[in-house]
Amino acid sequence: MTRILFKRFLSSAFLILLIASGAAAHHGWSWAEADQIELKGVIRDIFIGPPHPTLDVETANDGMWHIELANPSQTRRAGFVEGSAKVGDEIVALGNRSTDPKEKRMKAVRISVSGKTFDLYPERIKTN
Amino acid sequence: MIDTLTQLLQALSEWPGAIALRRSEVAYLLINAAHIVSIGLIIGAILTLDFTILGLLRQAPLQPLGRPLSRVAALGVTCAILTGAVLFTVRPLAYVQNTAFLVKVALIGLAVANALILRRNRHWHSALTGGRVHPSVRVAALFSALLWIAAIVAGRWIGFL
Repeated sequence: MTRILFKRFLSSAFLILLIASGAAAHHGWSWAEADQIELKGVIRDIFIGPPHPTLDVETANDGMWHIELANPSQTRRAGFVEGSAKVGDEIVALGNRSTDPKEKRMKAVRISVSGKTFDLYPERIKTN
Repeated sequence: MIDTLTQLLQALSEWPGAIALRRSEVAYLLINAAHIVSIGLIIGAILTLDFTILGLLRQAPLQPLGRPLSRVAALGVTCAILTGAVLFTVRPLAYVQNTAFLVKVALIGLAVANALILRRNRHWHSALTGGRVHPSVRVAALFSALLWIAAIVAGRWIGFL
C-alpha cells in the first residue's frame, strides 16, 4: 500500500516538475501582455551577455523597470552591443510588459538610445 | 561586509573566463550543455539508486548496483559544481540576489550532506554488500530523491524571477 502511494507521489512530483519547467519560460512571450507599451527613462544597469541581455531603467514616475532584450545573438544582430549604450543614457523602450501588473518587467521589441534605434524583434513591432 | 562581498563578486565577473563567456555565445552554450549533462548523470544515477534502496525496482539489487550508481552520481555532482561555478561568474551579482538560486544552492548543500552522512552510516556498507537495508538507509534515499528533484525545480526557477 505505502509502496503504491509512494509511486503515485513520485509520478506526480515528476509531472509538476515537467509543467513547472516548460510552461512559463522567460525566453518566450507567454509571461508578457499582448499589448505593447512605451517606457521612457534613464539606464541604470546594462548587462550584455548570455543567457539574456537586460537593462534596468529608472522611469520618472514608475520607479525602476527591468527590461529583457532578445537573446544574445539576436540583440547583437539588432546592432545593440557593448558600448551601444552606457549607464545614465536616456532610453525609450517599446515592448510587452509582464502579465503580472505588479511586476515592472518588460520584454522589449525596440529600444532607442541617444537617437539610435535598435529593432530587437522587427516582426513584432506594432506601430499605429 | 556586504561591500566586500560585492567587490569580490564584481572582481569574479571580470576574470577573463567570465568576459569570454559573455562575449561568446558558443562557449556559454557548451558550458551550459556540459552542466546539463552533469545534472543528467546525477539525476539518472541517484534516482535509480534511491528507487533501488526503497525497493521500487525489484529486479535491481543494491549489490552490485549500489557502488557504480553512487560513483556516477558523485562524478555528476563534481562536474555540475565545476560547470555551475563557471556559469555563475558570468553574472555573479545577479545570481546572489536571486532567491531561487540561493534556495537551489542550499538544497544541493543538503543533498550532498545527506549523501556524505550516509557514507558514514555502517548500515549503508552492509546494504551495499547485499545485507538487509536498514530503515535509516531508506530514509536517506527518500531525502535524496526529494532534495535532488527540489534542486532541479529551484534551478529552473532562477530564470523566472
